[in-house]
Amino acid sequence: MQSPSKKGPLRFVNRLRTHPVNADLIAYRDGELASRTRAAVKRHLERCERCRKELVLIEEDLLHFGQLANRIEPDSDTLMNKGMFDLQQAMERHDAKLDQAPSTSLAITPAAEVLASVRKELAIYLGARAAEQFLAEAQSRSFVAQDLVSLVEPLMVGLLGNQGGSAVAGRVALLCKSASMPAHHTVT
Amino acid sequence: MKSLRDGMQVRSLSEIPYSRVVLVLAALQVSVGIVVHILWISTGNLSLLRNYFDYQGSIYFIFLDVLTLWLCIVAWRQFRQQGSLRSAWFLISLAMGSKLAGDLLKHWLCVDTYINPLHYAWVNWHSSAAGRLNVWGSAIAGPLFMLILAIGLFKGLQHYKKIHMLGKLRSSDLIWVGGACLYALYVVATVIRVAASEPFIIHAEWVLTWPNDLFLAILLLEAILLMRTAVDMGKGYLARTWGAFAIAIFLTSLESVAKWMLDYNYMSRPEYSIMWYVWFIWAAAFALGPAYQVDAVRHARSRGMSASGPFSNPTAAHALPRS
Repeated sequence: MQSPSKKGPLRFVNRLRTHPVNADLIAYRDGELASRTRAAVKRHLERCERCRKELVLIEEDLLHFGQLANRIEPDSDTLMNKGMFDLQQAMERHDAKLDQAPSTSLAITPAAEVLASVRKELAIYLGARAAEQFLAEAQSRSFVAQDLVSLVEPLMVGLLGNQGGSAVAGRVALLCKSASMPAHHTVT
Repeated sequence: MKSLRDGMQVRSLSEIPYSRVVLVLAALQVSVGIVVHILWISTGNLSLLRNYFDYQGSIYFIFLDVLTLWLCIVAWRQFRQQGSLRSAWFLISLAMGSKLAGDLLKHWLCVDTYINPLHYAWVNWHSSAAGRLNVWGSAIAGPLFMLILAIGLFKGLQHYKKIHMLGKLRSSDLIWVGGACLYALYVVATVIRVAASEPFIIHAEWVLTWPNDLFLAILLLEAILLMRTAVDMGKGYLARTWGAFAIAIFLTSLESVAKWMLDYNYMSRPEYSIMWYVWFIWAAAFALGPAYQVDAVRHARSRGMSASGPFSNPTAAHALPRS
């Protein structure tokens, strides 16, 4: 499935008769949707409490990650370890929160949509063709979501450095998670 | 796919991409240059043109050199472990440091301007030292810079080969590669012939400038590979980083060819004067390489998820649902 901005607002509006997936909400939050699509999501949010709550959860996640990252000094191992510990704790808290409130998580999105979002994310840094090639290689082997992140992270850390690479890998992890992609959901 | 312009949303002045700053500076510099050039042609007033190059041109080069060096160091400091582009960016930083040192001599300390401290400190500096300072500057910002840059870019290409993203040469590229190799051999032969036949005393700084075109030929080979890699990757930040370096090297080669044509009367001096402005674009292209690299990191961090961690840290994987 393609991203909403490519499919056009009308089809996207039809999809909104159900609910936008988290990848769409993240794109909405980042201002990456086309204006008409953005308006459609906005209208949906105005009348859908469930999606509003989901957006708030996403905002909290991103804010928390951002705060943790700002506390990590690039050259300080001590601070970095503390930051890592805090981050891990936060992730566990977040997981627990999600487990307690399953009603807020949206429907499972097909893995193809996750791949499209990840491709779009990687294309910003690598370029569209390189992202396509990288994911095609990954897809050629049957992989699970965790494998995708563990493939993206060393690649991006090698190309962008530790902070940039980890940020992209984190973003990919969030995209996988936002689509509720099960850890052993096989993408072939 | 969204373009980089859409991707990088500027919310405040501090978030302005460095690449945009460099592009705006270069555009301003060249635009003013075109106006001054037209005035020179129409009025014949050389002092305006001279002031433009001696003052604004010098400040532009040195400012961009400082910015480039700083951006390279920022890019290098992002990498902390082996098996990354760390060594490549370290060598590129060294090369840019060499370029800055050379340009300080060439564009500042050997030019007769009021912004040159030697102008006040040493009455006869221009007649005695300026020439040698210029040669030393040309050697440091020329072959020395090219040699270190060539090794740095080689390290970068090695990394891209390792991750299977190195561009593939096309058959048409072989013409350029062959041409560059032949030119390199021609340069080596000429240097050996001149050194053997001329009975003058050879100064160290002259010898340093001899391998200029040889290193340029090596850089040209790398630039072809970089350009192929950038084209094959698509329009991402990293593709633009290496593409900018490739363009800078192509522009250096263009200037070298134009100089050769001027020396052998294939080009007149007024025609060659257009090449003066190419140097401004050349300097901007070198600055754009690290600028796109640093912009990529800033962009990644600004997208909300930034978690510094060691290689293969559990941070990102932890964000996934557990099995």
